[in-house]
Amino acid sequence: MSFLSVENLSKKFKEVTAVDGISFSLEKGEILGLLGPNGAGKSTTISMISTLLRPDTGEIMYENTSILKKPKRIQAQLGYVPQEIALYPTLSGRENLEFWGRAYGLKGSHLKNRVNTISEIIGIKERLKDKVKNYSGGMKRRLNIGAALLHEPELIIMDEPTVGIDPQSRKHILDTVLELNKQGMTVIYTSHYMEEVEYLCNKICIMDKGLIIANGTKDELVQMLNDRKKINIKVDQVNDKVINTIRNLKNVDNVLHEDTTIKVTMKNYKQNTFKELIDRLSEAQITIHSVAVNEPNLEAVFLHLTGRELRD
Amino acid sequence: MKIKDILIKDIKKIIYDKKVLTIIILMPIVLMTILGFSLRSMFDSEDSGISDFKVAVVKTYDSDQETHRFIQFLKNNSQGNEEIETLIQDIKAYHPEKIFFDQFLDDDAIQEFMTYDIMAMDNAKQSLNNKEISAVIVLPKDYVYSTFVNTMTPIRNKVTLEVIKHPDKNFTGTIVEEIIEGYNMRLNALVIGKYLFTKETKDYVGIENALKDSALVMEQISEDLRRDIISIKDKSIYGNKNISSFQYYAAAMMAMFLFYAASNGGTLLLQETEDKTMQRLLISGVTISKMIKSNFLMIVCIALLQSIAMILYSSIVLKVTWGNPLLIVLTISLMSFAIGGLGLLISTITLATNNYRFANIFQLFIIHFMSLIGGSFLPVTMLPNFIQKINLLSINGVGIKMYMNIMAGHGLGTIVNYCLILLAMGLVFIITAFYIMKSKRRVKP
Repeated sequence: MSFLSVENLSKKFKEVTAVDGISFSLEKGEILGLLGPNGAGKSTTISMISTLLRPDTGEIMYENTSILKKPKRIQAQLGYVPQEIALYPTLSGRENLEFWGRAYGLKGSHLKNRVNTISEIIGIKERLKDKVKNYSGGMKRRLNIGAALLHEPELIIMDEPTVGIDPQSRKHILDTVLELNKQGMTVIYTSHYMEEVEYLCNKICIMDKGLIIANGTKDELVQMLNDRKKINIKVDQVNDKVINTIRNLKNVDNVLHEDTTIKVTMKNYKQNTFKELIDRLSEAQITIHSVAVNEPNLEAVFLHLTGRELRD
Repeated sequence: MKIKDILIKDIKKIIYDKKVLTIIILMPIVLMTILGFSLRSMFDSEDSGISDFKVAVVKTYDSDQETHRFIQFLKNNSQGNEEIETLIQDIKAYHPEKIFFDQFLDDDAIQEFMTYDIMAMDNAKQSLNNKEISAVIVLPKDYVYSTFVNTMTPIRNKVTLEVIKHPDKNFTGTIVEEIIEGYNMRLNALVIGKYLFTKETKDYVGIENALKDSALVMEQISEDLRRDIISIKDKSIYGNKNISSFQYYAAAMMAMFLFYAASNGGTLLLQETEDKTMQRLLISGVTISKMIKSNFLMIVCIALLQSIAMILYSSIVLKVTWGNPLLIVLTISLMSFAIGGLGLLISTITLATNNYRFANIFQLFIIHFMSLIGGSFLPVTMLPNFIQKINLLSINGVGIKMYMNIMAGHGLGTIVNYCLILLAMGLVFIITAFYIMKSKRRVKP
């Protein structure tokens, strides 16, 4: 039995279907990434897992117990990091952490110790006395995560925890997530940043319009592209004749150009296809400045599956 | 999580918010000080309390003629009895005018705060119009004759002493009214006692023998009235203290600004939803009913803190005397309970409608309307009649009445109805709030 399993989950808001019969499962110690553009249904899915919303249909099992029937079963073991900064800005960092600790039943010296430990982990120990409204965006985000870690949850759900912060704070948050996972915490991480999901997650569900359109490890998802590769070639000049010549080559799927850069998407990439491409450019007496062969990524997978870019 | 933890957090949120704190604590303090000083004349100059005020007494009877008439009445009914002749000699010492003026109005206890002049009706009315006197006491035609009849015979005649007040001398006029009413009531009680005594004894010893003890009854009357004067004086000191402008506006501003505790507290639940902290609390297993209970208690606590701050400031800085501390605690508690209920109602409406419109309307319009009809801006007696009639529909109106009564020295009996009104208001608000929550509960992800 899985640590967490979701079966045929659906949720409608009036006429809008936010989640449409999705199923997936998660083992203990995994980091599951829910990747998808805004409005894909990620937040609704985690709202249902975290017992905030009741699904119209489907079942959510947490350690063999239906959380629809026994929501308290997961609530005590769940750390929830909302997309918004769900903190009290007029209270200090310490007051916030103590309050959220008490929300999960911590008290006395244990609460005090956990506040100290967590404030160290999230790197705000020196600013605990300050009011949260005076924190930087990155510090607020880290405190937002810290508030969900106080009770040492088995499962932590993070809903786009890095939105709108500086690269340094983002790096700190991602490393924190990896560190927590190393300590045994299971994580569900939603994001529309492909690189974050690639960096963190060992299991990925790509969502779009309420559906899971792809599900697996990163390698499994990339494999779906069937050896499609993107080659960016920087040249001294570009003309229509050369573009048409490349387009007519075998295994070339698409050709675009921006100034003097030619972007070629190839299907069934083989070494001889690449050689043929270079030969054609040489025959047209075009000087090649550089060539970059890009490995396929989740962005490409999403583009391939939906015809749209992830951030559309 | 315990309600106490949510409550502490909510109170901290309010106390740390300087803007809210300014509105609920600083503004009423400033306003009660300014209004107390600037409107002092309105409260103090026209009617200076129970010290040294004057009244006019108008006699509308002919004393000698009525005395003679009564003696004649006795003679006609006595058939030359010697006991009656003795009685006639005795009763001159207990003449009704002697009782009213010498024993009652001239008593030192009354003279300490009220003096009188005997005037003709026209002169008395003129003096009253000129505000030279606080009231006119009119002794009716047949006053002497009827009082003799009432006190010396088994027959009872109606005697009513009238008091004419000036509207601007309402306070002292009311004291005069109460003194005269007390005099009338005491006299009537003694006359009834005498009547029963005479009626019973005449069956055994005959009317003449029964009447021969009337002198004793008269002596008793004058003695009792003198004693009652003391009790009237006591009542006038502890039961009708004059209210100063500082006392009035300390209570009025305190009662008004409690509404802001309700309106600010009433927005917190929706704010929690918007800030997503409510969702976070729900996920951690805290129920919405716990949050609502805490919200109610928080508003009650803030209202209590506000009231304590106002009372401390007004007592220390403005030297306001609030009266019986236990009754003040009772009033503060009931006011806070009603305000808590109102705040809870605002909370549930804002939460159910998912916007601050109602809270804004409440803060911008309803508070000011309530303050007006409740008497927070001006005493309701200065406002039109229709406003006076709806005065008790507002929490502050009820509260101000309670504080005024306590400041004036009245006891629990006088304010008990107001206590029940506040209790009922609070309960109605709470029940309505829970009904709204039950039927319109919704929390968006």
